[in-house]
Amino acid sequence: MLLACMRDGIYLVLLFAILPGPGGCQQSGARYEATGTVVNLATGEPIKRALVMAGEESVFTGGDGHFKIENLPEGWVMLAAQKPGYFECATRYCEGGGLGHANLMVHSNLTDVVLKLAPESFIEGRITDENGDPVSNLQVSARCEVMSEGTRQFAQSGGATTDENGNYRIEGLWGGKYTVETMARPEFEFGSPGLGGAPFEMYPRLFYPNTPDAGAAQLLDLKPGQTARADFAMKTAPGIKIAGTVGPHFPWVSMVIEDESGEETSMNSQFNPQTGRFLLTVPAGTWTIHFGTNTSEGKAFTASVTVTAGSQNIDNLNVALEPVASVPLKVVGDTGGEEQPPVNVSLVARGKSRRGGFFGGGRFGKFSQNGLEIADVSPGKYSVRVSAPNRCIDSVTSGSLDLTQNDLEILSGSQTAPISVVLRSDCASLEATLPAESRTRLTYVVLVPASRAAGPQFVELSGGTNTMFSSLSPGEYQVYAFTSIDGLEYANPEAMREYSGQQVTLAANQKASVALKVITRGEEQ
Amino acid sequence: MRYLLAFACACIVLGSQDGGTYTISGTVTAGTSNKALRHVLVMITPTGTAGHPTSCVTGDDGRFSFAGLPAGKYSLSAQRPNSYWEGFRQTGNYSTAIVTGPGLDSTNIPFALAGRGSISGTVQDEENEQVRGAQVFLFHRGVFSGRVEAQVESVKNTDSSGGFHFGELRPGAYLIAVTGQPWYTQPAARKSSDPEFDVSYPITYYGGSTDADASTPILVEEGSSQTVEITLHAERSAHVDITAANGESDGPGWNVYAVGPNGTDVPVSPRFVPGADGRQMIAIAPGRYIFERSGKGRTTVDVRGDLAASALGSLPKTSISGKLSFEGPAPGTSARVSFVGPRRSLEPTLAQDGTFTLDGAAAGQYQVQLFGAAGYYVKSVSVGESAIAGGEVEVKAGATIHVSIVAAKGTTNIDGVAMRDGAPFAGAMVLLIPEDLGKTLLIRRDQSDSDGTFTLPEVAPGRYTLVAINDGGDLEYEQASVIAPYLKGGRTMLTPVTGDSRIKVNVLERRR
Repeated sequence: MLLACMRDGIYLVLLFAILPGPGGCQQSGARYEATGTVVNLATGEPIKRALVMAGEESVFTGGDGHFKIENLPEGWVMLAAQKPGYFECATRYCEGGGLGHANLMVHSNLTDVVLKLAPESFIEGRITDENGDPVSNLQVSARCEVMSEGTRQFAQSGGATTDENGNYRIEGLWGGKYTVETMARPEFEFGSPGLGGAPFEMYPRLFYPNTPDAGAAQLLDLKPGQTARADFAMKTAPGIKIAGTVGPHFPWVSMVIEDESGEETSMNSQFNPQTGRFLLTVPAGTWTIHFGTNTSEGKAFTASVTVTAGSQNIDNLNVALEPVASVPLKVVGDTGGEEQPPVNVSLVARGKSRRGGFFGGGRFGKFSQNGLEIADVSPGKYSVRVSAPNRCIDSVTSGSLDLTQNDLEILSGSQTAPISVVLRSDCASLEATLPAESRTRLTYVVLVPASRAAGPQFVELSGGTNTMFSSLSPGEYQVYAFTSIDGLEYANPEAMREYSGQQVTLAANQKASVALKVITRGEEQ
Repeated sequence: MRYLLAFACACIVLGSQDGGTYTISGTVTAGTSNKALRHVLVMITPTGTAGHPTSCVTGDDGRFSFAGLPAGKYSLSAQRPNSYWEGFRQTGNYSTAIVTGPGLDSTNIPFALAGRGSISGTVQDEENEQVRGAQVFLFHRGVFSGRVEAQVESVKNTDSSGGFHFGELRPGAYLIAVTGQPWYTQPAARKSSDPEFDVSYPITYYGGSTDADASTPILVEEGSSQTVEITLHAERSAHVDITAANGESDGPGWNVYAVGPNGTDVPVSPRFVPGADGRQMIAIAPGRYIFERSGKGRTTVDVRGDLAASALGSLPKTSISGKLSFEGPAPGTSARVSFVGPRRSLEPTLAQDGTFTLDGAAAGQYQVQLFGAAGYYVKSVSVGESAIAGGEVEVKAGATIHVSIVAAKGTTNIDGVAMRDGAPFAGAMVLLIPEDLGKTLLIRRDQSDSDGTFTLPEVAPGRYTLVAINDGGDLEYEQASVIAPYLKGGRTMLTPVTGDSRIKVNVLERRR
């Protein structure tokens, strides 16, 4: 599950409890108190009227941020602070744990407890047209950089709409890196596009600073409590209507549009369930439109169409929805017999599209009436991931396609060849050893297999000097040790090229070891 | 040169309609300022079923011109970027259409788009801290369709600074109500009995009142930006037991509303909290609320302290059943009926044989309206065996009534001309008032077009008075005492009208 960069409303909801002490220490009937201060992480200033909670006890801080909470029993207790407009952690990753709470052993009165809350950040700006007039009622969204299994992605984090003066303000953002983009829409929003022959103009989607190219979007690095400014100067462009009919009849159909680079974008769309007619308005260009719906029984239907919108409207695009694919699975062990779960085979969406696996939409193999299969897979490219306890991968194929090296492409309306997984039990293991000085710090050991089917993995070492990776398929691996993996694209070979790891080739049943140097990353660098 | 410059800036459409010889032209201006508005989408649409809209965008001089039009009647509307369509001289849902033809001047029309204002504000609590995420309801209070109403104009949540902003507001009187919960009451693990944290905000209006009738209106004028502050005061929560009689908890099935301006329902978000012995409670600030279970009825309760489940009682199971039948041939399957009350309308689903059942209706007086049956009208309404002479069905709380509705074919359209000083008059509000002033659903309304003509549609047979009033858009004409003085200057008639195909009516001046 991906962590979002923004949370609304109350910024900390903890399930807190009086925890039993380590080793089951006996609690006495004694009661103690804790005193301390809640401060702003960014400024160090005290936060007044923050709520401090311990078990069922709650108090407000005073004007000086000070609190005193009583009636605490002996044992471990979680103290947590909250206040609207503040986060428990400085960033969405909450590296180093939350600062707004403390897990403390109570066996006497506690004093000088400091709880730190990170103030939310903002992105604000003004949007004007080519005459300097405000563009009102335009949606603006922020996407934050997130890492998912070593892959850099951008996730929707917050949004706002410009007021009649063209101003907007996106609230509730964690510290982090953000892109800002506007949503494309017709210039005259509440009229039918191009009605009556007047020129039909659109505001195109733009990324800050005023570029239509997502790759050229500037990253705004927001510190806690910081407000970044992102103004836009919009220029309208001719808009094109894409209209047609979707069949067979469904009560609703969703439409998702991607540009040529595979970036998903938001556009105005209409669908008439009575007639099946749809209408999209887009700036000129090449667009892929993904149509989708579900029956009341949960069966999914999709279709994807790529159109090039030039200067003419497209009025009769007929789209036929088809049942989404189910991909048969066959899992074979090295004894030749078919394996039963808990083998886990999943498809992870590839490319820039925000559809598919990245947001938890990964498809997992399971038994159905048709046998083992991965059901309801939308058209697109996927990498196939396999894991099985105490087993490793011999091969993963789809027909003649080697899925340890290639993506699986699901095409609309065509049957995909079964995914065949061959497991083996002669797995290798690898012990990674760190220098002695690693005892005193946090270190991350990252293992990147050459095979796509296994996927990279990492171990967080706190004060240790060695770790073991087991159930590894024979083959090639890169191994690294880092002081931080914050923002590290360890699943991206291009991004890892700047780091020198250890290359290891593992044979069947091999128990290998490797000595690693720790690569310093982040603020310590 | 001047001509060429004007051509370059203006919104001009030539020969767009069947090679006619007439022109509709004018200038779009901002509010009452007479400032020309550039970049406005202007559209004309032939009235009736034939013809397609034609549009263009004004240049720097705000001019528009549609030439080459055949004789006819055209609706004229305009839209600023990011704003709504606005008809020419629009009042409510009515506007003045432009008529082209011999002897009619349809050029140099001054099209003034209504000015706009705004209201900004902040919501804070009794500790002067901003309240984030509160719901701010903006009501526009005024005369709509002949009666005083407070319509919900917009709902917004306060931002991180407790701020809110409502822009693009039409001039008029506005009320603001705020609902919300203190943020520190949210964590579920806390002792619910702790009085410091067992608090709620009552609905609070601008001016500080918790009573809609005592709220302070905010007057928005063209170009004005009003700024307001509202302070919420947390009060000790009252606990209302909503545990069902069978002991089951069904918190999510309950909706709770405060009684808002003019009796409108203002949804509040109470806290659902666990009570003793597995009971389900609503924690809410003391006040007057409507408790509603979806489809199972509603009741209004003054909450002054903790209330046991019996306080809500078994909700009055009000039920309206009945049948819609037609005298003579039925118009098809599209016919629907609606029970129209002063604050809400109820529309039952009709079975194929015209029968219907409405459960959980609010008590009150309802008129019966027919939809989807052009040419038909409600001829009679009976409750049980008794015909309803006044046309209003009284629904008492907890009552079960059977309503028979008979519809018949026979409505007509009335065409006419509004006249003043012997000449056709544009922009007058034209009303057809039934003899029984209580039958407000029979009132028909139009606004005279540029040649003074008007059409009153779907008039049921009966005795009426036709009146035309200049500048009457905000007249509370559904009130008998308000409309009565105008009726003397009107023209009485019995419909359907025979002989006189285009009725003339003199335009009366609005009484102030």
